[in-house]
Amino acid sequence: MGRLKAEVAVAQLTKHGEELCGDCVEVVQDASTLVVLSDGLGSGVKAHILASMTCKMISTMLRGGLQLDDVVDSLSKTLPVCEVRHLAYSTFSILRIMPDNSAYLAEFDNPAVFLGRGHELLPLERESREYAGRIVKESHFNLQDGDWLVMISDGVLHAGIGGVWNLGWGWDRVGDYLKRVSAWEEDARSLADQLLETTKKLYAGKPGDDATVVVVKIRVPRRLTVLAGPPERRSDDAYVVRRLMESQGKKVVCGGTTSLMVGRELGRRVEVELGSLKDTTPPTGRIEGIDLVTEGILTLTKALDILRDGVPRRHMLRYRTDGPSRLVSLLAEADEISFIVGRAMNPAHQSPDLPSELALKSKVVEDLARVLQSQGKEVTVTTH
Amino acid sequence: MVTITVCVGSSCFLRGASQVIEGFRTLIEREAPGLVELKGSFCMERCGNGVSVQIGDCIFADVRVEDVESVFREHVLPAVEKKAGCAPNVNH
Repeated sequence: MGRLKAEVAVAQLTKHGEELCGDCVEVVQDASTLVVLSDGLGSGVKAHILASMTCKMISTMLRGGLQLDDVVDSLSKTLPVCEVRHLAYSTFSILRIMPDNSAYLAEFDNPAVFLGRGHELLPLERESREYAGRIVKESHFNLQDGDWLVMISDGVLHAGIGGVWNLGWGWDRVGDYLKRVSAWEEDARSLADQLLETTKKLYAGKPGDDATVVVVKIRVPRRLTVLAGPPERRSDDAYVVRRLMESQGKKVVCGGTTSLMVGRELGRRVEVELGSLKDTTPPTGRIEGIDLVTEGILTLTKALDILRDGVPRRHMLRYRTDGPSRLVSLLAEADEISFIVGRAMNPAHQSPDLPSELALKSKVVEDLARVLQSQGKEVTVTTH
Repeated sequence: MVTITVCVGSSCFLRGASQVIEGFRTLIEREAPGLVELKGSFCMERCGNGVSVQIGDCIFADVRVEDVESVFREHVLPAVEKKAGCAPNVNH
């Protein structure tokens, strides 16, 4: 099986009355995925410093190729000692997912990580090993499409303590909850938000401890190909349309002339959905076999604006029918995006009586690619 | 059925295609309800002379909001009447 996508979402609650969260999460995604969760001793500033130092040191040193015992050793020598407790202490959980979908987990004093497959929890075989005087539990396992991992800090387990639950929510009950919720929360973000929201409710809105949730969802990467603009040479028309149609995953065509070209090459009708027309956004269209057909430069520019402002929640966009929102919605759910940009000039767009909104298509696509890359997506742009 | 097709590509859109469509829609409802179909097109390959409007087989360039009413009276209504007039002959 090819490389799977690890979708990571983090959600945090800060102890009531504190300004800073004493838990810290560091996520690094390149060829592999590294997630580090640390809970600093106590709460507030001190805990925050301990936890962030732990996270940063672990992620930097591990990525630099150091062994875990060196890292743990450095941590115990570096962390500042608390004046009150005479301890330099913070917990950590380290999850590393390699490109071959194998995973390594190291846990020190944090609640055990949940591993789920579909709606079931899988038992993880853990081996205890001593690293620089600390007992770390380690496990190695392989991940499949549909697996999910949930890392939490103890603030989640204590939720409701002395109130709804005498001894807090507890690991088993959180596990049961995750089995149920994972059935309808399909993306990592929603599952993380849902778990944290329930934690907050159990604390009656006043968390007695910092609480952190990290959800990692494993799935086959979602691919999207966007064709924008006809190629510079007409003789390349057939080639770019074939590339679009042979691509895996969803397909988008942006541009009036471009959609005509696709319709012509495929011998299919191009229809305009006038219902989606608004004063500020051109309508969408329909070509059989294409997931979304829109006008070109104005829609792309608007989509860039929406992405730069930060996409709301995915399911909020899902019910909008205008071109830019539908385009952003598809871009947001994709992991690997390929833009095929044509360089043919539309002479009409150079007309001085049109507003400068008709910026260069390739420039807008470049900006889009940059924003999407910063969101952890793999983006390629080819021009013809 | 007479069909009016209005181009809504980038350049025509910026030149006011949505207002042109709105103008036609109002006129159709008032003067020929159910007899004219209003459609959109992504490009009529006359991007420099928008807004492009096609009525039957004829393409009209440079249609502005203020031209909509005259285009409708001079070209759409006659086409509607011609078709309506034809209908009984077909039936005989």
